[in-house]
Amino acid sequence: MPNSQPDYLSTRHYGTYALITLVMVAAMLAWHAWKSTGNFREYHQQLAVTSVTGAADELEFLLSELQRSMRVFANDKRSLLEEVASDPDNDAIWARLESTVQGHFPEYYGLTLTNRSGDVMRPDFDNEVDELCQRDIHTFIEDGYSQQGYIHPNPMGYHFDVMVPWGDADNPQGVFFLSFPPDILARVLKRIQSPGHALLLLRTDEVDLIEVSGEGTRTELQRDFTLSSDELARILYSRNIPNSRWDLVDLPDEQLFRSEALRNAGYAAVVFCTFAAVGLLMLQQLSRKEQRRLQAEEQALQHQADLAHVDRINIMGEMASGLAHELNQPLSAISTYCQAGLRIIDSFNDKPAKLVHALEQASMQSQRAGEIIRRIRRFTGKGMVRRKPIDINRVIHNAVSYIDTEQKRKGVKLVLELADGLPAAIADEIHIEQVILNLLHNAIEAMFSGSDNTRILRVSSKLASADTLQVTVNDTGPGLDAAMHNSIFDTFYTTKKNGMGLGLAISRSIIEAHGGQLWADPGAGAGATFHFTLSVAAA
Amino acid sequence: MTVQQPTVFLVDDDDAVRDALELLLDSTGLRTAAYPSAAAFLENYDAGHPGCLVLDIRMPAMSGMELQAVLAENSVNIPIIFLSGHGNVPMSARAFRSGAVDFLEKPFDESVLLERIEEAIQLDQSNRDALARQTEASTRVASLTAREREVMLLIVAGHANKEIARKLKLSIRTIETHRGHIMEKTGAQSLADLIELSHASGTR
Repeated sequence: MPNSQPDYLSTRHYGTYALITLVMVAAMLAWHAWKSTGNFREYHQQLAVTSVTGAADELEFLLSELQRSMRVFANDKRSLLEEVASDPDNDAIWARLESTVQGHFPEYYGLTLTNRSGDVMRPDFDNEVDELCQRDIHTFIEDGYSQQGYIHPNPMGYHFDVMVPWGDADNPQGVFFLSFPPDILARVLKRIQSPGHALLLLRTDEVDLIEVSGEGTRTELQRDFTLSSDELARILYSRNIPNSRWDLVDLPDEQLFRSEALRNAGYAAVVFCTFAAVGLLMLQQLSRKEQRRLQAEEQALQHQADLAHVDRINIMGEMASGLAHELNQPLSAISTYCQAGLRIIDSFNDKPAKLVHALEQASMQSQRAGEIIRRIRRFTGKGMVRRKPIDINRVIHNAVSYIDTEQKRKGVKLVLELADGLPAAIADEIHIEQVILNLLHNAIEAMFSGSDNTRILRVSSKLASADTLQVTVNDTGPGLDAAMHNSIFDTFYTTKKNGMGLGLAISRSIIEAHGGQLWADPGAGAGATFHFTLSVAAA
Repeated sequence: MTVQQPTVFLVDDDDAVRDALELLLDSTGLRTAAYPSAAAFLENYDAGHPGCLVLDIRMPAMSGMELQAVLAENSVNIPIIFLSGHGNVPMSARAFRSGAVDFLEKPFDESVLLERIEEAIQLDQSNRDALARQTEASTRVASLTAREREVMLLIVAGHANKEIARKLKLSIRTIETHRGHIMEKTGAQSLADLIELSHASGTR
C-alpha cells in the first residue's frame, strides 16, 4: 500500500510544536521588554546622577563666586562703604553705592550694609530688608560669617541672601549684604535638567519643601510646596549644596518609567501577536494541507478497494464463464447424442420404452446442467458496470501510477504517447483501468522473460475513427508466436508459471461488454502490441 | 441442371459436439457435411450447393464471426445458424446485424435447432430460386434490343401503347411490333408476367 508510513507530523503535533514555540517567543519577548525597561531605568539613573552632580557643582560655584566677588567688591569699595557707614541716611552716597553695586551685580535684588553687631544701617529702605533677612544677618555673624543660603519671600518676591564681612579681614566692620532672585538658580536647573526629569532644590532643614525648580520659585509650580512620600520615593539622586540649606534632587516624571514599560510591553505584544497570527495561519494552512492529503489517501484507498473488488468479481465471472464454455461443449454433445439416439429409436418398429425414458432423462438433465451454468453466469455477470463519460488519458495515468514503483525499481522505461483533446469515452472507469493494468502487468512480465536489456513500455491513446478511441500497449519483450497469438485470449490459457490464464480473457470480456474490441498484433520478436477500442460518448 | 439435395454444413472445433450433431441430423434424414475448422469448410465448400451453415462462434484460428465476414465478402449468401458455448448480448447482436438467421446457446434444445435448420434450408432455397429467376430473367431481358428494353420499361411502368408512341416519337404500330417481340423473347404470358420478370432482372 502506498503512503502507509506513520504520520510523524500530524496536525496535533504541529499544534504542540507551535504552542511551545509561542511560549518560548512570549518568554523571550517578556524578558526583552523587562530588560530594556531595566536598561532605560539604569540610563536615567545615570542621567540623574550626572545632572545632579553637574548642577550641584555649578550652584556651589555660583554661590561661592557670588561671595568671592562681593568680598572683592567690599575690599575695593571699602572707602565707599565707609562713607555710607559714616552717613547712612545720605541719599546721595547711598545712591552712589547702589549704582556701583548695580554695575558689578546687575541681577542683584536687594542691598544693605550692617555694622559690626548686624544692625541694618538703612532699615526701612523700600522694605527690602525684612525680619527674616535681619535674622539671617545675625545668624551669619554669630556663626562666624558662615553662609546658609535659602530662599524666602518678602512683599516683593522670593529671594536668597549672600553676605560677606566688610572692613578689615581680622576685624570686620559689619556685613555687606546682597539678595538675589531665585531665577539665577532656576536658570542653572533648567539648563541642566534632562527631558522627563525635574531638578529641584529642597530645604534640608524642612525636608521636602520645594525651594527652586527649573521654573523658578516654588510658587511658580502651581502645586503643593512639599513633596509627597510617593515623590520622595521616586527621587533618583540627591546631593547637598555646601554653604546652603539645600539638597539638589532629581525627580523623574511620574510617567517616564511607566510609559517606557508600557511602550516595551506594547512592542512585545505587537511582535507576539504578529508572530502568533503568522503561526496560526501557517498551522491552518498545514492542517488544511494535511486534511487534503488524508482525503486523497482515503480516496486512493477506496479506489484501490474498488479495483480489487472489481478484480475479484471479474475473476469469478471469467472463471464461471470459462467453465461454462468448457462444460457447455460436452453438455451440448450429451444432449445432442441423446436426441439423436431417440430419433434413431423412433424409426424402430418395437420401441424399447425404458431406453427412450433413459435417453429423454439424460437429455433433460444435460439441459438442466446447462441452465444451472447459465444461472451462475448471470449471477456473476457484469452486473455492476457503471458507465459514464470518462477521460481515457486520466484512466491511463491512474493505472500507470499503480505500476510506477514496480516499473522504476525494475528499470523499465515508460513512454506515454497520449493524444490531446480526446473526446470522452463511455465506459466504467474501474473496469477499463483494470484492463489497462492487466496489459501493463503482462507487458512488464513479458519483458523480464527474455534477456533483452532495453525495456521500454509504451502506452498510447488516439482517436481511431470519429467515434472510436484506441489505446495501445506495446512492450519490447519476446512478442507472440502464432500458437500464443491464437490462444492468448482463451480462458485458463497462460504462459506464466503461476498465472490462472484469466487476465486477458477478463480484459477481452470487459472490452467486449463495452462494445469495443481487444486484440493483439501477431508476430514474435518485435515485442507484443495490444490494442483496445472504446466508443466515444455522443456529443 | 440436376436438383441437388440441400446439405447442412457443420463447423465446430469440438469433436463430440460435431459428431453428435452429425448423428442427430443424420437421424432426421438431412444430408450433413461436418468440418472441424473454418479453413477446412472454406476449402471444401461449393457456393452453388444449397443448404445452410451451423457454425460455432468461438473457434481457434478463424472464429465463426470471422468466417461469416469472409463469406459476406465473397457474396456467399448461405443462411447461418450460430452456436455459442457462451453467448453474450453484444456478440449475438453483431452476428444478427451481419445476417445470421439464428443464435443458439449451448446446450440447446435440439428440436429448436432442427426447426431453425428447416427454416434456414427453406430460406436458402427461396434465395436460390429468386436468384435463379433473376438470372433467367436477366438472360431473357439481355436478349432484347436497346429499343425493346426501353419500350418494356415504359410498358412495365404502366403506359399505354399510345403514350409510349408519343414519348418515343414512334408510330403506335411500331410500338405494337416491339411489344410482340418483347413478349415472344421473354416468354411472358401476360403483362403481370412481364412486370415480374422485369423486376426480377433488375432492369431499370
